[in-house]
Amino acid sequence: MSKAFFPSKKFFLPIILGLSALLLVGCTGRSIMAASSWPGLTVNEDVAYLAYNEYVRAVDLTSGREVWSYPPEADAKIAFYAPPAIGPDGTVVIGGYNNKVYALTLNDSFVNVLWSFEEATNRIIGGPVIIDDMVLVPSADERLYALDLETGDPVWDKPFEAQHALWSSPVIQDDRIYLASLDHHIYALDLETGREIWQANLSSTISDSPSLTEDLVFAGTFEGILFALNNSHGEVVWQFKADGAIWGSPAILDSVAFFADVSGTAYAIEIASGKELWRKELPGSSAASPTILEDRVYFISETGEVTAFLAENGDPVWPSSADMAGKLLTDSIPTEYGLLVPAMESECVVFSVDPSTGAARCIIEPK
Amino acid sequence: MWNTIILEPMINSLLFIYSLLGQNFGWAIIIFTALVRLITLPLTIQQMRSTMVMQEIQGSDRYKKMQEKYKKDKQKLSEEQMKLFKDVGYNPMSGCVGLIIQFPIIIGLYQAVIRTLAATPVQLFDLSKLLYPFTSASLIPVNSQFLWMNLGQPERLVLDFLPFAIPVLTILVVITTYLQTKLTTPASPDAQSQTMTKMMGLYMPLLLGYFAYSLASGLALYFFVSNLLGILQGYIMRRIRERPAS
Repeated sequence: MSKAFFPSKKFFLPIILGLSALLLVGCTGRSIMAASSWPGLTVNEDVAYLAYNEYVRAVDLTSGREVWSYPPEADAKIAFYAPPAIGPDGTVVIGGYNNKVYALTLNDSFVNVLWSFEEATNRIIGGPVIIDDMVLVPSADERLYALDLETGDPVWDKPFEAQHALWSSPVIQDDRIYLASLDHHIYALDLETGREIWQANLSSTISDSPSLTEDLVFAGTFEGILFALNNSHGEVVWQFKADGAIWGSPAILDSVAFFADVSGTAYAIEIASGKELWRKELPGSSAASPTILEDRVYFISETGEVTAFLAENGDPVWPSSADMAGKLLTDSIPTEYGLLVPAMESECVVFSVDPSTGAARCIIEPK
Repeated sequence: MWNTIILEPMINSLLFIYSLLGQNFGWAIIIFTALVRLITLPLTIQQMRSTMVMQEIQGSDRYKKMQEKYKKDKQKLSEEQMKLFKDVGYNPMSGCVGLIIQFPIIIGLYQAVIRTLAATPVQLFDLSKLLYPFTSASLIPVNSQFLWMNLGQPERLVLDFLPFAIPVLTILVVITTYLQTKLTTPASPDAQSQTMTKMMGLYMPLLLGYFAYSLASGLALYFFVSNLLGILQGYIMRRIRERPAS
């Protein structure tokens, strides 16, 4: 080619690399190297445990001071997004994108790894759950592992195996585990053995954990259907079609189930009949489960807003939604320090929203 | 706008093909890549023709003489080149137009594959917003198993008798990228172009090889298939070029 039309060779490699970077980032401006999941947040007493990117951090909510973080040095190969589980003795169980599960204990301000479990063959995306002296760990390798809380040794003869990845935490009621899988199924398992009691095929992906009442199991699907299943055998009691895909679990208050969908609509559904009681437009798509505080229900929008409605009739509580700079996809957690709302793509990792006024402030900053 | 014009049509088409092929995402990537290459074939041919014409111009005596004569006057050289292009009826932008149109399609194709594989919660959530109402949500998540590969994970072939895993697709991507660069970039009489061609032949295979090694194997499969089709196109174009005029 002509010299006048072609850059000199010293610019050639940077141009190629630049084009390749553009190829990776694309025209949407978001790299596939960006955080691949939202922050996982757990609160125990006055301490918030936050799993996000390279670290799991314990932050004292009274002072905002970081108590500890793990690992000591960031490792580009390890990322944490699953909400940590906290044992009765303060043991913190975390799962990583490096397929490993760690039990951490705090001794004289030093974090010790009590045990690690390394048999999973894919990422830990859903949060582990501690029940008595056992930890249940859902893995993207399609298995649910039951581990001894003290030793990390497997408790069941073999892990429960679904047909696709497990991305959400199991839910426990009485002596049963209820588990959602990307394989379109809800599973009911025996807590002691991990053996399947029943399974229900909902024909579409279920991304979040099911919600439970005394006799019903609720799950929303990608097809936009909220199912109510009988918890004895898994039969469909009723189903409700929403406008968009449903990601977050429904929240239950008395006789009403509340949920939101990806189209940005919030719904209140009568549990007994599946009848719609009210629906409201949200400022944006919703992936999080609503949070209930007294007679109010709080919905999180991806676009950075928290919107509060009266549970009874859907009337707005605040004149306008609480607005935060960031992408909100995680469930909020009600605490005495306000409604804690984790954020992505923001200069604040966790906001605190005053449930009465909607005033928001940053409570945990990025590391 | 990017999502509406490029990404959504591509993702939904990819899922449509996936549903037709018995929910085999590996074959869906292969067929979809081939279809996109076929649709953009006229642009590719135009670009290749433009490159060939440019090669012929660079080999002409008039071009070589003006390079020598105006080597210290870039402005004049540029003017003379434009005159030459006008005289032989060559539009220097003709190759660029094809490339410019193809570039967003290539990026879109790459993004469609990665977004549809949705190996992480953020990607899956984003995917749920990109589906057309008539695209069945029951297709999600796609079955990412293809041959020995999980298309959402970097590819490694594990053989019992070997103590290490082999990145087969990475090796294939490096080889086919090298071959494609060789075939689609004809030899140039210009020393500067030769240097750049040589560097391209070295860096591009390594760069794409690195991507294939470290990113989802669905992407590596797309690179490999795209390269194979590029090699085929390059071979055909070369044969046409080398065919004696009747």
